[in-house]
Amino acid sequence: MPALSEEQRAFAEAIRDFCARETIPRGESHSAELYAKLAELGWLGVVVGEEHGGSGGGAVDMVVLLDELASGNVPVNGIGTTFIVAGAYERFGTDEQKEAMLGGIARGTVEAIAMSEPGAGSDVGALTCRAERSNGAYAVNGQKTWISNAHISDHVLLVARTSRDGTKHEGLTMLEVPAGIDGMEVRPIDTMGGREVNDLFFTDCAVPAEGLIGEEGRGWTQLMAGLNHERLIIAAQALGLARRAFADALSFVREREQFGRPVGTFQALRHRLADLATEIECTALLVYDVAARVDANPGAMFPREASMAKLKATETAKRAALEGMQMMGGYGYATEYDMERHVRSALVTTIFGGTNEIQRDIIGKTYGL
Amino acid sequence: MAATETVRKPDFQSKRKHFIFTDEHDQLRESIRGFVTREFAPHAEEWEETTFPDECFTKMGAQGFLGLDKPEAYGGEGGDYYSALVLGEEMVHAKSGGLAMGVAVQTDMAMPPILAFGTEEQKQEWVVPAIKGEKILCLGITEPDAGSDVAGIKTRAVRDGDDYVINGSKTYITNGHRADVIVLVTKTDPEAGYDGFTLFLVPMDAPGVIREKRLQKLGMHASDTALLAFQDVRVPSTAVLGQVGKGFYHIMWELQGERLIGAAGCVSGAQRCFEQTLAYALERTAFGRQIGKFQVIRHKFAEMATKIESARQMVYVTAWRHNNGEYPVREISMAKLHAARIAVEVADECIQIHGGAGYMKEYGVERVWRDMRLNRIGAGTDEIMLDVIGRSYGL
Repeated sequence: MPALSEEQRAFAEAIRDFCARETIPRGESHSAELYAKLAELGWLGVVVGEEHGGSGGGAVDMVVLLDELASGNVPVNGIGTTFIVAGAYERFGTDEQKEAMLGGIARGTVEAIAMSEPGAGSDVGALTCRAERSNGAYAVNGQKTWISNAHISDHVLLVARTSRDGTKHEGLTMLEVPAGIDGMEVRPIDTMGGREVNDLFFTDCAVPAEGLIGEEGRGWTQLMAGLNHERLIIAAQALGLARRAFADALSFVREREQFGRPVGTFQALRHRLADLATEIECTALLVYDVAARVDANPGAMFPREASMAKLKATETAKRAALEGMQMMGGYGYATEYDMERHVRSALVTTIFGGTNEIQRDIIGKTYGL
Repeated sequence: MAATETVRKPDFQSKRKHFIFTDEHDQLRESIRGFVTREFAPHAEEWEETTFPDECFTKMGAQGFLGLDKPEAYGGEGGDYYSALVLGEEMVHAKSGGLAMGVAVQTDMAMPPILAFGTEEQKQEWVVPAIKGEKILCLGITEPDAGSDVAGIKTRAVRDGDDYVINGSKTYITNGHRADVIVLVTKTDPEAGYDGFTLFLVPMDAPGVIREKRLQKLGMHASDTALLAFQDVRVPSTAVLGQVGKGFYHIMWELQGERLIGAAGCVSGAQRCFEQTLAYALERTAFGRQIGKFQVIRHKFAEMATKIESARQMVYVTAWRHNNGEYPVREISMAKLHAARIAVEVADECIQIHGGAGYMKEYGVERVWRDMRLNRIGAGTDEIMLDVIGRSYGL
């Protein structure tokens, strides 16, 4: 990657070494053991400032970590939502909140963020989960759905409605909800990817008022401020997944023989891999370039480019995994190999973090359409 | 399978039959193919420079090819819709997209509304000679400011006593420089919305009809394309075609037939291009073998053939629906969309397979691409087809 400094190259190298020497468990999407090792190495602190125990890294450093971990097939799915939460606290947390949360993240806690509801997916502004201020707490009632990692997280960053005045985007508030709190029930949802997402049921759940993150009623604006990061997190993971799917497909088609030769030497497959490799290269350049722009322009928002990175990387991951499966034939479909899991992982990436349809709308609108 | 039964092997060379075509249609096919191959194909390259001569119409007319599915009462052959389809397919052997398009305007765009909505006088005046090829027809819908948005046309026809006076302009008019009459879409009542349009049969030699410009295009060079102006053109009220105020609906009906025949032409154009390219891929050698034997090239032909076949079946089945009395607007839109898209994809791939030769005029493949490219735009853009299809589901 041309955008990488010497340090960043060394970081990438170190992560690759980690992936190579660690025993990668199969069948889980988040290994607490491996996650703890990442914390020990200080790598989870890449999104945390030095004052809170992190390494004070930028967007590119974060992309390197996520890309290389995904490419190295390390199952640490908790990292994505954790990094999103870290960003929110960096931007809007009080000093105490940052100390507690960011320090915790650097040390290896997993965090979750809850926006979606049964009646509010793409249309986040339609969310209705209520948080009513009373007696030094917020009484929360409602339901959140598709909440990744809420079953293993220390807290949930809840986006709830504190007021019905004004437009649907006004009156939203970010609240810190500790795991295990009375009045919050976490129920897992079975998906194609396994059990990674949850329904959250809030019944008169009393969230301490100190859990207010940023300002009451400014939840929407605060969410929007995090989009650069959120899109890049997903883009980086998807890029790594695409690179992994390609690598797995490549190594298979070099080994597997039919009609007297490695199947990869048939021209059709050679060309399909060439097309995939070219697309992945372009995707990588886009993702790293957007991250570099974010680093070079602190405080600036890149709605168009961040959405492009998310859109392209996830479509590429999906294509790489699906093509990889097809090129591996029956072995692509069998659980013995990783490819079918790559497919299952890739298929959700075009949906979460803002569907690719929403990304296209965002990009198109930046052209005045 | 019993041991005594013979082992079945595929016969890839056998003629493919489709249930809509009878032996008569097949004979007609041979007849048209032979005629256009002899009479037109040798001149196709020349006509790219000069446009085809008017006598192509009289020659076709003399063979009965301009009235295949038209009533015998007007000099037509009285055949079914499938015979029109056969013409649309076989014209491709003239190797001139522009000629095929000019003929299609005559037989499948301008003539059908006159037959469907015209008075007996109008049919005698225009259809009888058009079937002979002695009069040439054109159709005027599009304007400089109104293409996809047909309802946005501004050409006005104002009642004045027993006449109408027409002012406006039309563009992209095929046959516009050679036609004797134009089926013209005008606005007669600006307050009436979709019920404010009227079709007129306007003689092209009427005072005030001006052939402003001969438009230069990417492809379809053998066809003349006109920018027309209408300046105080006076026509009698007997020039109204169909019902006053119903012109929009009349023309929407006309477009369906136009789109289906266009789709048929796309399929057959793609097929001919495919066959020419296949022959090339079996001749041309590189790296010690016929280029068609490289797996990727083999797969390209497989993809193209599959696309062509899927488009063909859509066209044929939709023609069957149409012939059966249905008004299959959704399916016609699908067939047109798909056929136009694959025709361009096939032509593009055929150029690529030819390599440098594909870029040379001499091989004719580049002309197929340039001619086919119109089909994703003309008679309703891909985008409009997608909208029609999508809306047909209540969206």
